[in-house]
Amino acid sequence: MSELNLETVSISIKGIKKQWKTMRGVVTALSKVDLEINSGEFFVLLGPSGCGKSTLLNLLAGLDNATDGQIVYGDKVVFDAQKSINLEPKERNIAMVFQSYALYPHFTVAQNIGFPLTNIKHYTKKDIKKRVEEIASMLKITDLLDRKPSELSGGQRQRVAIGRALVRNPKIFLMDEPLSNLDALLRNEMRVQIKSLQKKLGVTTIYVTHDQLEAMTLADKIALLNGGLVQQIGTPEQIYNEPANLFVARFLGSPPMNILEIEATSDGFKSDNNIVKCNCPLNAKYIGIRPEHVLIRENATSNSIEVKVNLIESIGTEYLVYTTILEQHFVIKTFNKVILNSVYIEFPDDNLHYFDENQDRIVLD
Amino acid sequence: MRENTIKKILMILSMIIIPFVILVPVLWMIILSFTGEPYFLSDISSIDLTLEGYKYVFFNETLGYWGYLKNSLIVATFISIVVPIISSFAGYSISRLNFPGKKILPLVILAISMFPPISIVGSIFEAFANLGILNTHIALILPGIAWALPFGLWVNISYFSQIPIDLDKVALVDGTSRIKILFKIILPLAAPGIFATALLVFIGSFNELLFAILLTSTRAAQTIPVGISTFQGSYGEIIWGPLMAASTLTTLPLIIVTLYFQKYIIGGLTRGSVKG
Repeated sequence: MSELNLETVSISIKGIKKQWKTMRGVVTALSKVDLEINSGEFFVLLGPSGCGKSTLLNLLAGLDNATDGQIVYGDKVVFDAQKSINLEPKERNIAMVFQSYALYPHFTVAQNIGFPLTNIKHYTKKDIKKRVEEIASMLKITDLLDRKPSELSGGQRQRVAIGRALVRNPKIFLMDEPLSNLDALLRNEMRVQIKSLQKKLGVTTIYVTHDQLEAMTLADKIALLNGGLVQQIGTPEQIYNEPANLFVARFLGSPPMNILEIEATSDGFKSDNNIVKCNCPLNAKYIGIRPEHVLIRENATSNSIEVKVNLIESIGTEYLVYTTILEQHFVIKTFNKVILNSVYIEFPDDNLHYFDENQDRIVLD
Repeated sequence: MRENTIKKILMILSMIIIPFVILVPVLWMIILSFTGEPYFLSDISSIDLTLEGYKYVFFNETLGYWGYLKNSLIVATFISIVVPIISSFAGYSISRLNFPGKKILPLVILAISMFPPISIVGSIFEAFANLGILNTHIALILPGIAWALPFGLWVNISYFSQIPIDLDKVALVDGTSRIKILFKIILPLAAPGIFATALLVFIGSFNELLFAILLTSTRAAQTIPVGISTFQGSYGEIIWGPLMAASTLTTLPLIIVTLYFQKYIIGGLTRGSVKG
């Protein structure tokens, strides 16, 4: 499909700030966001609700104006607060897919997909029909073209929405939680489809989600946002393996990383009864370890601590063992069913994360 | 189970009582229009059906029924075209665009609409007298629009607000102009709300009496409610037959308009929603 190939662009976001004036004062949605997104990259904006990720997407689309900062697509400045540059959405050559699909309920599928083309002067009805059929066959929705959105299932609607976004050969795709309205099974299926479609087309894509699994599986790169600030940018592996701060550590993983507030000593940290030996730096205030990295021993070893088992949950192939250490919740993920009332656990040095009193990661030499 | 029984009883009672309350006066009107005898219940056996009332209304030129009906239709049609147009544009702006005071505006309009019309009809009379438009259709259309607009605005603001804003956003991103979004997407989706406004405004304006009776004094512009209120026999007596025949006839245009618009309103309500 030569028609579907797309020139795509990099995106540069510098010092973007967004504030609203309300009756109760100024609300800051984005404090100062800097992002560099490479051409053809699948970039995921991840964060809890209210973190500003959808706001950022609207700013990129031109549906809203930032208070400060600059947005550049390729070599075209589309927004610059200082120079008062602000291109209309239609001048930005982007396409957007919404969580609600936003299909026009009074149009058929074919009319929905073809609608963006009716805004382009040189497209005749015949051209539009041809293009719509092309898109439909690519997304395997040719037999749905005459239906109305109300006659489609969730997954079909999602595909129509994607088709409508593709039809104009946009340079950038913006997706706002496109899978959140689907049930779990369908979500997996669509996730795979979106990923392979994006690979095939190679269009720079910005994808907003609060679902860490979607972010981990789809992204080339993730930016994790919280409270209007970028917490960390990196590949899914980097973000998972080297969380920049406690927020990131707690946000990813299911169940998330165990975090213990500790007292560091020269050769480890104090646990309930003894000292756990590790490379714990003296300025560490928190240690983190993922539930799957904790080792369970049946008998005491030189560097293990004994913990009481509070509860065991089965999640299919694995078990979650809930315990308490230093009066703080602690979860262990294991393949073996634990039948004892208490177990000995070890913290492998390589898998321990240390955070200072500002909750930032301490990088060990 | 017991709760269900109570619910059922209440439902059946309301199904009997509500139509009874609403329909009995109508039935009474229709029976009177065929008998001309307001006390028919006192001696049911003496009822004889007659078309005299209708004949009188149809053919008595001094009565002027057709003139009144024409005036009513002109005034109500005008108002029910203008009000939905203005209020749908306002509904779009208030639900879609950001401008200062967009939250307070509908409330101000609502507050203004709470003034009793009787309190301003005097100054309207004076103004229209100075303008020389008393006794014209305009004299009824202008205040009619002013009277119906707040209502139309509120119906349309709430209807437009229900249309997901994502539709506008996606259309904007796809390069659609605001005007095209309004006419191709939002207005077609808001049609049921707009038709409902038109229908209710038509009924309201058709039956409007206060302005009509005070701002018109000749048959050039007097409407049906005014006309019917002035029906009397040659000796000033109430002529029940023609009065009720005229009233019955007058409900016909309303029923026709209602049936016509109803299919659009219901058609719109059952159309598919956006989310799954």
